[in-house]
Amino acid sequence: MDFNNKKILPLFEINGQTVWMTQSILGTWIIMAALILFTVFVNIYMRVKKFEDVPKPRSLQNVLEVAVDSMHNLVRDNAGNDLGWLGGYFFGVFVYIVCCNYAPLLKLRPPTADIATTLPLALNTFLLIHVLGLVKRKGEYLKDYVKPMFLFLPIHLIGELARPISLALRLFGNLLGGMIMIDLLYHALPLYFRIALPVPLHIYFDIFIGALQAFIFTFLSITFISEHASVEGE
Amino acid sequence: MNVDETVAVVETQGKILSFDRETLYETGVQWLNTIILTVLLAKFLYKPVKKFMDERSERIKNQLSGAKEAEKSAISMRDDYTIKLRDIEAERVEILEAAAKRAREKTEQLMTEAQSDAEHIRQRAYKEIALETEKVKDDIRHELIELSTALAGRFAAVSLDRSTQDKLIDDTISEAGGVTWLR
Repeated sequence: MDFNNKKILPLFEINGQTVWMTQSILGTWIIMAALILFTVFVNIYMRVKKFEDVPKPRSLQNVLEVAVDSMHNLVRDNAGNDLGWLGGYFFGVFVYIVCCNYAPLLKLRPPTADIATTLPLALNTFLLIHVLGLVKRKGEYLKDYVKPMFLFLPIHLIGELARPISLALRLFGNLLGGMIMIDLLYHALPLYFRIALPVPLHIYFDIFIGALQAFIFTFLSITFISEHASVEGE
Repeated sequence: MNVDETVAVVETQGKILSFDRETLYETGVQWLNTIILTVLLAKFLYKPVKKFMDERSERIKNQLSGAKEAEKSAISMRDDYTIKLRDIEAERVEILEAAAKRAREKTEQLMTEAQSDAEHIRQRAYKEIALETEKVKDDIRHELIELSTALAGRFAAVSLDRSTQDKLIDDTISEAGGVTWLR
């Protein structure tokens, strides 16, 4: 049993430190390539076949419309119309995390079971929270750090710094845990039981937990941003 | 296997979780990947689908407002026609009365014109009759003069007794052909 994020190829060197292409990075590139190909396909499909005004159930158009509309509504309902433009970013984040979480179904190591993948996502959220907070609310945003009194400033700062860490570790921990559970089961089961028996665990840990964790990450990010950047009354 | 060898094996095998420079660089690579992918998905997948949906919503909204306008206009037209149908009897009577009035006026006008024409014709006939009478009188006057001249010639040709004179006058009158002496 080996749960390590293995190194595959050396990519480049910075200050004497070799940067490797790990299983996570390879998995991310495979997912990126697949998603970019899918995006190109959708764009060609939209130009050649044209989307219909009333899409057929279970068609590609219908699935895309439901996904886009759900994300737009989620952002609009939680962060307000003012921040509705974030729908595009969170759509990308959600699709990316779901694809990463579903990678084990294709016998790939989930890239989200690596802190190097989840940390950038959490840092993006951290930057959005504070940049948008400053841009949208200016002085009011800074006043939040000294509420109800100045003594609370360190607590607020620790709370803010804990957010990206908790976001990154939650996603990482859940995916790593799921991966370890399934690997342990595969190794514990005799060879002839490995065909059908792990399927329910795959459904739970990969499909259900994968989608749930992607949703939790996205939803929490939107909520945090809304908390700091939404102007009251909007 | 000493500690350095163990560390070297672990380094090439990879790791589950560590917070070192290597992880920092990997985080940088993954950050770049994340940004590229999210931007591409947002711009080339989310945006076109959203744009299509927004345009469709706008189109449907316009169609609905157009349909509402058409319905409003149809209702107004129906009300107009209902009122017109209700008033059509009165309108019919009004039209008939107007037509009868026009006909009466036309008749009166024609009658006036006919009377005026008849009066003209009669006046012209009177004038013609008067002219004709004058002409006949002139003719008679001429004939009288001729007759007198002829009578005087005969008186001059023979000496006359009373009976001869009367006979001569009678002959002359009978020769003149029974003319009615008119003034």
